[in-house]
Amino acid sequence: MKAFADEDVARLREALSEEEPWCAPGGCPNKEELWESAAGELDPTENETIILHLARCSECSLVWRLAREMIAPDRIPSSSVTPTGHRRRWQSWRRVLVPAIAATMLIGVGLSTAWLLRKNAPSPPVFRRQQDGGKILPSPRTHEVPRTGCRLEWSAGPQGTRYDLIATDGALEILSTVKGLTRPEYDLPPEMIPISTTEVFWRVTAHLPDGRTISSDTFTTMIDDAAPAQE
Amino acid sequence: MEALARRVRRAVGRSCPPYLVSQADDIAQEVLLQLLRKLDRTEGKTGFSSMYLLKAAHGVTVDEIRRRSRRREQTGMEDEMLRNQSSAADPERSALSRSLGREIRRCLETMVPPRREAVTLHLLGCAVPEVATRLRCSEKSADNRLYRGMKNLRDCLTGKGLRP
Repeated sequence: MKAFADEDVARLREALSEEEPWCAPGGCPNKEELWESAAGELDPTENETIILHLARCSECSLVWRLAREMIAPDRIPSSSVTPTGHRRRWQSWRRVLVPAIAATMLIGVGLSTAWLLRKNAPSPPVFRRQQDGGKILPSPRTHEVPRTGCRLEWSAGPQGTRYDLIATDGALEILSTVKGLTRPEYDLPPEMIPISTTEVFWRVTAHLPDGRTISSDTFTTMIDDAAPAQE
Repeated sequence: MEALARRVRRAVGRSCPPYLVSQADDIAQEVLLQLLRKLDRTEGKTGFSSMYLLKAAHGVTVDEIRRRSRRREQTGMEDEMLRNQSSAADPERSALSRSLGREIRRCLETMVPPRREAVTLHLLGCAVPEVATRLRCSEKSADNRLYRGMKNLRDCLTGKGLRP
């Protein structure tokens, strides 16, 4: 038997959300820490400290709840209740079934698309798709690199393509901007990567020989000095 | 620039608690100023992802929430916006709700930490799977902590003569 009926849980939640924001004695975590906790980015010990703080601080609870709702609004349960009985069993099944069906459909669509592309486009697939409005893809080798060998690589365009690149750190401070690269790679000089930087965000704009321009998504490269250098 | 301002307003619309809605334009303006300063520093060579905008809007909203809380603590005066929000709803119900909120927090303090964490997250809107993910434990363990914690909470509130 449950301790509270669903509507009582909703009422308890409402009571906490209607509290006047006041800060618990002993000081509050800063807003970045609260954001990172809501985003699930803190390490377990820090996260635990924050959650225990939320238990006694209405102001931080409000801040944390707002962050959570902003980061993943689709995750907020509409009725805000925990499923029970057969509903819970169905939801457990649904958690398995829905992704399985979605994955099957995606694989089906992917295979069909790949077959069609292969049939119609025998030359290298990546950039041919880009010419049709697709994406520039980063090389998997750029996922994790050492500071002293930070080579950013991406898929090549047709002969004569020129590339511009912009790289920033996590705070969007620009580390490097280069224009007119002729090869689909760039070695980010180690002196441009501050010691505190663990991630590099970078974006490529390709200028194709026919005058068109394609911009990539923003890619992330982890800086890890233990990672093997690229050859 | 107009497109950026629109994105900022949308982000602030998501970050603003109901009692600060009338401040939303001021908050959006502050966010926009921060972004423009950033653009200025980078000579316009930077773009802003949606998550960056949301975080910026959240940051400025938090500053406003905290500023108003400090002012209330220092002056002992009620926040007019909070009062307006309460009086727009049923005032008696709002007062009861606030007192219930305070007592819930007192009850939470008496629980062992693992249950306190699970119940806190649940009362902040997380269902069992999310509680499990956030506490890095199995769903079964989260369910168990939550069940026992909610039972503790019920007993504690009942002991104070309260029920939701």
